[in-house]
Amino acid sequence: MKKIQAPRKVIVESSVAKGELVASLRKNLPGASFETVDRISDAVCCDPEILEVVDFRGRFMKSCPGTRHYHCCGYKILHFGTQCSIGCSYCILQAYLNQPNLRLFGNLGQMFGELSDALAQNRDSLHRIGTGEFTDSLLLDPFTELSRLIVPHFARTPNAVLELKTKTNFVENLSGLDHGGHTIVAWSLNSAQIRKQEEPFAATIAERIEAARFCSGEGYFLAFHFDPIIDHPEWKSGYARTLDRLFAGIDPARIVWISLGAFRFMPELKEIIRLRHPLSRIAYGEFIRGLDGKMRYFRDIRAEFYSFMVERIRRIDPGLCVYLCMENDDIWKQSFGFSPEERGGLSHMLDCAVKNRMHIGPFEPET
Amino acid sequence: MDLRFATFSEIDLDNRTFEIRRFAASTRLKDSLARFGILDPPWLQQKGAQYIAVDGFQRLGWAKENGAKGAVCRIFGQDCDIREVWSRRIEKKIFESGINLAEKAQIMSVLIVAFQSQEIPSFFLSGMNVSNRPDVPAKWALLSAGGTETLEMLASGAIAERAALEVAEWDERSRDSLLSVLKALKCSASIQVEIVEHIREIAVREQKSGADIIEAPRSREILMSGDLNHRQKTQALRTLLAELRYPRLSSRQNQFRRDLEALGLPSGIRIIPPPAFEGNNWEMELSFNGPEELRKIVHSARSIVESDRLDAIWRWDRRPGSPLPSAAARQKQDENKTTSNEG
Repeated sequence: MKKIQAPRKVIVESSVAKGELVASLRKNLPGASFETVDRISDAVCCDPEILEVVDFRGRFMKSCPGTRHYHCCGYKILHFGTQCSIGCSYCILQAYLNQPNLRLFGNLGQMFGELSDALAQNRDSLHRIGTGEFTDSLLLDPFTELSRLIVPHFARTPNAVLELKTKTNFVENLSGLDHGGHTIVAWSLNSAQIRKQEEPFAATIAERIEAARFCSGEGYFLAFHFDPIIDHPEWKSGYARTLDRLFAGIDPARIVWISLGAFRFMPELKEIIRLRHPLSRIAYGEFIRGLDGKMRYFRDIRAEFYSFMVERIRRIDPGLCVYLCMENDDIWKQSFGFSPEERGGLSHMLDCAVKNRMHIGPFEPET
Repeated sequence: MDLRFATFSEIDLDNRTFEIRRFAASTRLKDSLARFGILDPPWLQQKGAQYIAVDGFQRLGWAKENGAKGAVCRIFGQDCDIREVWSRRIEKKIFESGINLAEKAQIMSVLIVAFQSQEIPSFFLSGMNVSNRPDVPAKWALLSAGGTETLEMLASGAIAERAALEVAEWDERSRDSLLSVLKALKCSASIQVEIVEHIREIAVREQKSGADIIEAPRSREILMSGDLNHRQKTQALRTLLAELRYPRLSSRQNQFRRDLEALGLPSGIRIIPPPAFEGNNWEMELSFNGPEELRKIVHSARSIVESDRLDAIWRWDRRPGSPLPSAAARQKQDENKTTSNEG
């Protein structure tokens, strides 16, 4: 991966200036200037050289933003920061115009407190928790070393697994950690052509698979997300090639799940893509307005994507958990031959994958 | 500004620096001049020993043509800053009612040079209902630079402002080609925008120019048709563009229509799929004039609804174009079904 540009300026809210996160940033960003302010206000335009560290007042634990029309994986988000500087053309974070800069939450004590409280609430059920919803899980890890705090935390939590989702190969900090088999390191994958055109600053497919091999060697479980799947000429051969490279490099037994999600976006993103990525053609596919208001490929196209991918994956490992992100029964049945309800629901399917591959759970009800 | 009588020998009428052309014929001013003469003094600016016209080109031209020696004019001094002269000229132009798109484009083109894009006074923008988005003045300037043909089409009143701005950045051939189509179709602003967006998106996706789409044989056939009026042409073009923009969805819709026809539902029944076939919210509409007709429709629909033929509509994995089971096959299926039920 092209080395990401290290932030040149770190603006820190005074209430978190003495915290562990800022200490790591000071250590790992020796060339950056640090400015302490009482309160960071929302920026008008994006400055990629700035990293903001705020005293976050909202909720650190969030539910995956599913809607009633489509099946949601039911995972929880550990919200530790916002924005991403990888600059993928399709990224929804571009639409968060009031907070365009990279931002981390410096009050880690509160974050871990809220996390512990959430995990303690339902000890007899599995918590699948990820950090890659509002930012890339590992993009800033070389500077924050946050993984060194979060991964061991989950190792000590019997009824939870952590999923770190990334498009980077910044996995050095994961080496040698006590993860206890409770962390899944996950990569978003795409066809090489889409990677090159739409994710030019992300790690290459080869780099991601190499990073996954490294993590597998460190005993981590893995996951892969073909999301967004994008319609483009030769998409079948493009995605087939990525699957071939994946399974040539990774033992499928280490993979807990693979998700599939066709490109979907809030309508306002289309104009943003047009302005920021004028060469991108991804917004001009056959999109219709979905039941959740987002633009989605017409159903036949989605079903064709999924059927193709499922069939290819099944050939390699029929037992590997493959699921669709935010899809309806109709598409599930056409792609898999069953709906999640027939298997106890999508959340249950993913819990089973954790049990079968990671040997975590089931949990005894509390007495 | 001084008010002074200037003779035509002192006025360089060939200097058109401050001209903002209307690009549309109007007899209103000529009629007024003929009736009342010049009511509002033209504006001039001193340039050395001469004057150049700032505002009132037509009035001055009329006076000269009618044998006048000169006219009472307001005079800007030689040292008056050109931005100041333009500002007043534009303010006056905007203040007069009804500037057309061609005039707007010319004014924006002047403003962008005189003030730089970000510094254009907001009262000019709001006075012309122009968005203050940074890319908008540049689009107007591009339209102005399009030349006489483009400006004449903008001045025609047939082109919607949003559609004009959408095509501003297109190559010249595509822009003029589309503007002339819109002018001929005389359709509403929202339909113009739909047409422009579809053409642009098809062109981007297929890596072609807008003109390639507009001038393709199927489009030309519609636009050149002698049998269709402008409304029918508009509808036919929209249908064609929707098919090109959404080929698989259109194909599925056509398949669905064919499947329904093949089912042979009674005429009072309509099956309505969810929009774009997304989700499971299908509807059936019954139209009847009373209980007798309702009974007839339900009775004749019963065998169809209970047969496998209906299920074929929901067979999503059928490729568009593949037929429903043939009538003979259907009959055989029905017979088998009856046999097994009996058995």
